[in-house]
Amino acid sequence: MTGALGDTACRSAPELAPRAEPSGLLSGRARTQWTLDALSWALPLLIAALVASRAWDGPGWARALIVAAAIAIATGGAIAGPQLRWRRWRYDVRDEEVDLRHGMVTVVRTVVPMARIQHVEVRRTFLSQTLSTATLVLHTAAGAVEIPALDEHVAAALRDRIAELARTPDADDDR
Amino acid sequence: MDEPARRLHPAGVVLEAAGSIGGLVVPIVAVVLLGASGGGLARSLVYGLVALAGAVVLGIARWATTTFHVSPDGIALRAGILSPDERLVPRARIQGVDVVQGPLHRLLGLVELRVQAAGGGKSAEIVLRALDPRQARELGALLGHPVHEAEPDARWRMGAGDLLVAALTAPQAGILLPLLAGAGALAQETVRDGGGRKVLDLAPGGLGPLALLIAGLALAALLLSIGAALVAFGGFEARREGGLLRIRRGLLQRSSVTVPLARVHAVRIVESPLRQPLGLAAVRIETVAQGEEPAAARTLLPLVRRADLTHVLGSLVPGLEPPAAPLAGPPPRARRRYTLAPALAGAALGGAATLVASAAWPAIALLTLGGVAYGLRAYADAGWLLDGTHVTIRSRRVGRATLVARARRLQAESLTRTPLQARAGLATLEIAVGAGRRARLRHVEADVAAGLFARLRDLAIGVR
Repeated sequence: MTGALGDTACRSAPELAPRAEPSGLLSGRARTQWTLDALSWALPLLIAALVASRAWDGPGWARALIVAAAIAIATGGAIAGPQLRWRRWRYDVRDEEVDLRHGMVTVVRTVVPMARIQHVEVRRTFLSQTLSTATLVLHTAAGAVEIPALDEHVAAALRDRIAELARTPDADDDR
Repeated sequence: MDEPARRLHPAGVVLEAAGSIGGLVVPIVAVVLLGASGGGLARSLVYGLVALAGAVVLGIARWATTTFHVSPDGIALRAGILSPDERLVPRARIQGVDVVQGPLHRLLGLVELRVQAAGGGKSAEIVLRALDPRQARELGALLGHPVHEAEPDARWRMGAGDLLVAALTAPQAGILLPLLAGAGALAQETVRDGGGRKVLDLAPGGLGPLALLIAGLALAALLLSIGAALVAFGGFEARREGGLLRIRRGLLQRSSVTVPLARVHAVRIVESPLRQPLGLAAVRIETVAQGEEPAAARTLLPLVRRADLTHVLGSLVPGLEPPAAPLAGPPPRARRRYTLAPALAGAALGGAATLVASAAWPAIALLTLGGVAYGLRAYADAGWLLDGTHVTIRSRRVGRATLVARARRLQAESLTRTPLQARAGLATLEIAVGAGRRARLRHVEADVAAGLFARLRDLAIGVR
């Protein structure tokens, strides 16, 4: 190895060959799936707020405020949230690594070397099955990372590809 | 090579029976007591014997249904009475072979052999509960993980003094401090009352017995801590024989762990709050095989002087000793990011205490200052270094931890930016090694973090 790092201690920012940011998108139906998922708490929240505003004999503006807040939280969580989340999710599966970038507020970029992946799992729920989406779970010795809500056929193709690539042993087979 | 399936040593029946009794001990005692209260000693003895016979039958059944098969390809185990499980660990996936000897094993002259595979905790492990030591050696050699000892290239032993210091500075010894503080507060109370209107509260029935009780508890905690250290680390020895690392430890249950050096992906130097001021540290190894094992099983050095670290680690795990060069830290503008959160947490805690008891209001200021002090410590401790193919990340949670990892062996890495960090041009880098150990470098310059991220990624995927 040569270059800025050499074999000696180097503490400045190492020079790096620029590599593309991940570019793959999740399934378009991910938004629908997350919205439906969010309804499981957003609807009870709305109902609870309505019931509370009915039952409570406080000032009218305060009761209206409760309902308005519940509507804001529910629409934010069930509609705006999934949209933004979907827009921010990017992934790439390259021969040598899996590259992910996601996060609505805090942006997280994660790289998992292909040689570390021990097995791949395609996870479906009842909801995702009706939408033909699936979650790809990549297991390493140190835990799992997920690519959520992919098109089902994309997930299956990625699973096969990663399983094939991950099988290629490391130089000395120490995972 | 096709060889017949083997069985465990016949005396394994005793171990299996003892294991069953261990699980049945509560019902047995209950039945025996019931019998004793209802129909006298004879009947309770009969119940006890029936339970014992049941355990022995179970032991025989377990022994008879456990077979294993060793070949140059790997090791297979078939075990279970009604629904046998079969498990196979290919030779190339074996991470280490451990020999464990509990008190009963020692009595019978047997050993237990544990074959570790990567990940998955318990399910990735093959345990042969009862083997003749000679057979264990033979199996180890066959699997390419010799368990017999050779002349060491390096060796580190734990002395009696080290053991005592380890016990006194163990995390569980931390509970001593509040107890002693409580005793001190009580003693003060007594004195003040004595000097005030109440003449003597030290009289029997006053606070004296309570202080005594607390002192007794502190003593018990101390003895427990010493006992725990003895059980875990009695006779501790770490040695390197060529490319093999061997760790022996334990008083009651002796275990000998063998790990190929190449499978040690990182070492972690932990300086706990009780140990750091004394210049002491503990060292753990990180491999992919030890997900769910207790901390003691991952210990390379239970207690070592910081001054000796480089020398000892250099001889035991060459290449994974802490770097001599100073670490680079986060920029000065990151300092308030380190201090703000703990200061707020301290203030909130103090506020909560004040709500409960209004006399506790000084706690707000004290805990806030404590939070600031902690944050400044965490800021000063944070650091990193990329030295050829090894990456070092130092950080503080409770104690200070320094992870020295082979960059080629990273399991994953991630780069995080919160909106506030993005505005300040900072980022947080996290790496995962071994069976899930993570090290975080918080609030470093965004371009430095991105550069390190890219470099580590190249090293991890083998780009030169």
